[in-house]
Amino acid sequence: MSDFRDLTERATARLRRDRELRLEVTRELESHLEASAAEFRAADYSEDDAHAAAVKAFGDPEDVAQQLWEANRFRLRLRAWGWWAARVSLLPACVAAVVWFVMSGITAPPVQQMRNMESGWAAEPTWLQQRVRARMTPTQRLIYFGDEAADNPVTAAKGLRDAYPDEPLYQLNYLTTMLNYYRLPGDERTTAAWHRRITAADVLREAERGRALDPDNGIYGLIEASVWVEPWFELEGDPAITFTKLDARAEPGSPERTEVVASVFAGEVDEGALAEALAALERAAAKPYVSAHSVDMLRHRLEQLPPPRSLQEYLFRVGGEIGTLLPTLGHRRKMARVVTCEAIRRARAGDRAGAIGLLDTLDMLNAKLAAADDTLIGFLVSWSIEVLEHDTRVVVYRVLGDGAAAESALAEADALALKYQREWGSPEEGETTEEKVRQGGFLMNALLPAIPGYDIDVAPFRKAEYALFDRAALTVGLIGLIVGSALLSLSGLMGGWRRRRKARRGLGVSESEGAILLWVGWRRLAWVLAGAVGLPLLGFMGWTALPWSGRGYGLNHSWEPVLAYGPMALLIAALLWVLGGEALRQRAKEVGLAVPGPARWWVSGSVAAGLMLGLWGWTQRLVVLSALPDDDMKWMLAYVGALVWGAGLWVAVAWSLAKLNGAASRGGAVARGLGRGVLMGLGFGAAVGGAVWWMSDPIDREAFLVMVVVVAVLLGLGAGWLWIAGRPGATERFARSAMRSLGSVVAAAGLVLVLTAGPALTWWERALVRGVVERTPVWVDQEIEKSNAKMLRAFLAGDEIAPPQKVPGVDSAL
Amino acid sequence: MSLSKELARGTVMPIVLSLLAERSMYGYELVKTVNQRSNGVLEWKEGTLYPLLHKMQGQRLIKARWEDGPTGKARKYYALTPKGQRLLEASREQWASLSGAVDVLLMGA
Repeated sequence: MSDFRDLTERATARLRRDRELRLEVTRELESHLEASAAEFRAADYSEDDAHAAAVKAFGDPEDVAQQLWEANRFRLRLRAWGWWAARVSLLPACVAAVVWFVMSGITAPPVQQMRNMESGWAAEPTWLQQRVRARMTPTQRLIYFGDEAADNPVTAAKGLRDAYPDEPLYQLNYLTTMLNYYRLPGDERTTAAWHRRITAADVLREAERGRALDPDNGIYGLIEASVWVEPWFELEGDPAITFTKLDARAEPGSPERTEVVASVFAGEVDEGALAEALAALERAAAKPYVSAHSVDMLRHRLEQLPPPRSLQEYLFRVGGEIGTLLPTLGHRRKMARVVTCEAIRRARAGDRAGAIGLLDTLDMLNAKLAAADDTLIGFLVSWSIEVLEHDTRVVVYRVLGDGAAAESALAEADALALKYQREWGSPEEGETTEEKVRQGGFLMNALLPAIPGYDIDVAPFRKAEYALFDRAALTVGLIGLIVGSALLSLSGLMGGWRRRRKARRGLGVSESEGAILLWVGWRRLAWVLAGAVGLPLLGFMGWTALPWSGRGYGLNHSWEPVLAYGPMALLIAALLWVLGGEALRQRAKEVGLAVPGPARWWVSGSVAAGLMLGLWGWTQRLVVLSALPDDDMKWMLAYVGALVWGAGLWVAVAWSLAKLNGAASRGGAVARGLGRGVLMGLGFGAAVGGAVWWMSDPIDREAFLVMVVVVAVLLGLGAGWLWIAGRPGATERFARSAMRSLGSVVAAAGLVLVLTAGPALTWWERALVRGVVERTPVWVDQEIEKSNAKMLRAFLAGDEIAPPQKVPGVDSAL
Repeated sequence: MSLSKELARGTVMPIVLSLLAERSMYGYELVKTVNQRSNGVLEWKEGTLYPLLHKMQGQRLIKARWEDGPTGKARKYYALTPKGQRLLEASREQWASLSGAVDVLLMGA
């Protein structure tokens, strides 16, 4: 303690509310008095005389105290307010910003959203749906969701039709929605009262109304036929009528054959209804075109949606597509079954002309439906009907006893299967598809194998998925920072409380010697944040652009790219610890606290050690490992490298901690050893645990590694706190002050991170999703035009079928 | 000779600004320099300098930074800000006008 402490205590007495400021002023005054006394000593004053002379030259300490208080009054208030705001609002602000970031981008699992978005209408709109709705005009909402006041999807579609009663597209949309919910046996939705109210008469009435609006479209006949057979139609396989044909789904050129079992009516046939249905189908086949305009309606609906701002909002659109497309397809296939069953029945009755005539009608009807198909799923239904019709011809000729015609029909069925084999898939395209699947990410991974020759740029899909994962990783990192900040702040509060309690009990502890909340200053704070948050982020962005990052492939191919999040989190945590600690050390030195030795070696040493070990680990992973042919060996070494890197960082942190509390006491040494042991134990415990896990279940090792890193960071921060806050030492007051103040620095880092990286990632994901939408305005209408299905559709539709009319009158309606 | 408190009070701030315009100084250095250059005419009570420095810092006229001095001891150095520089120039002009006028009135020059 300084010789002038009594004087300076009196001179700064009125600043006692702000411990840090008082310490700083005290130190400045002591520095002055010591310099003054030294000068008197140089003038041959004795030690006591020099001291007395310096005190006299200084002036009355009470006067100085009053003037110091007046000079610093505003500053005291400002600092008190600033600290209060920092303590009370910084962490909550960080939490609020993180919550905002999470809510703005990631909500419920996309699958759940998609399920709720079928056909646009939803009984209980999800949060995501409400957000999208809020960005639409009333007219746009009416077209996309239907009548928002409706209590079921059919009434919702009716609301749109009623708003534009002369618009055939909306009439057809209403009709197909109604058909979708008209008597679906075994479907849980049939239990709803509104569902049971839809009658055959309702559907037929609306079909008639649609035909009046759109007289050239045969779809209304198909719908009428479906209603006629719905109540009674059932079928069963007849094992007495089987034959084998070329397997269309086998490898191209494969002679593999598959067995076909003919289907016939099961149960009693309603002859009157069947006659009505067949007549309706005849009328439909005679129309110029047959189209449910599903994709037209889909395009029209999607045009109403605001541009998607996230991958999840894009999936919201896809969910809407699925709901729009499915309704009519099931009925189309069912009517084909009715026709083929009836053809076989007529053949059994010896009615050759009637049976063949029905199949010709089906062929014509299907060609017209195929010509209107824009979607893969629609096309596959048309193709299956074509196959069914060819197979039924074989059966019909066999039942009629015409062996030659049956053989000829079988040859045609084989030719059809061969065409499918040849044009739907080939070995070259298979390899290309596999590579695209690897590059495509989860979304395209599901779609690409189903569509051979799908010529589509998958990069935007993959990148958008990575953006989504980046957001998730950032969220986890931010939560880690919040927990770390809360732990540090809590440690400060608990330390202060323990100290006050000890002081009250007279246990030799001075309350005035408690931890100080240190303000490092804006400049130092900026350096800490730039070094600990900004630089690692920039480095990470650069890393993701490199081919070694593995981001040229999707996460469906490998989870390897997410490994980078772990070191990134460790690096930020370690840099925050090291740079934040150094800034606090400098400030503590300014205000006269006893601090550990020069920061130079332990800051640079710890960072260098961590980075070198990291570089070694990652270099090993990237360069050495890439040359290894054996995947398991590669992964094992990669894993060990990453763990060595993590453990190295822990050593660096433990080393820093040891210097931070550089006490000479025996107790301090024991405490340091204990702290090092705890930290090292955590680091290596995580490593050993990870290795054991890896050996027991190799599949989840990457996910486990990420978890180990996150847990280790959190536990490490907690262990550091326990050690530093609980042990005495020469620089104990600094250590406790540093721990208490670091919480605010960490919260500030979290706030900066969420306010900079958050919007940047949001913007990036939005830009990528815009790219996805531009490449696939409507997902499904790319499937036919950009794949081998295009050739097969041309074959099915033939030359004589005119392309279907586009949306009739929809522009004039709006 | 010692000046009256009232007469000296208004000169302290311009003098501090003027000295800091030359170079950064710590508190004790400022006091010593003033004593030296004024040959003891301006003898400040050393302790009262710091409230003034803090007040000037609060007014953004000067800024402070801790640095290790030549002896290795950390000292708080004060330096002029652009705002302080402007005030110094204005003070010099005012002082020139005032001292001229006072010379005429008191000394008959």
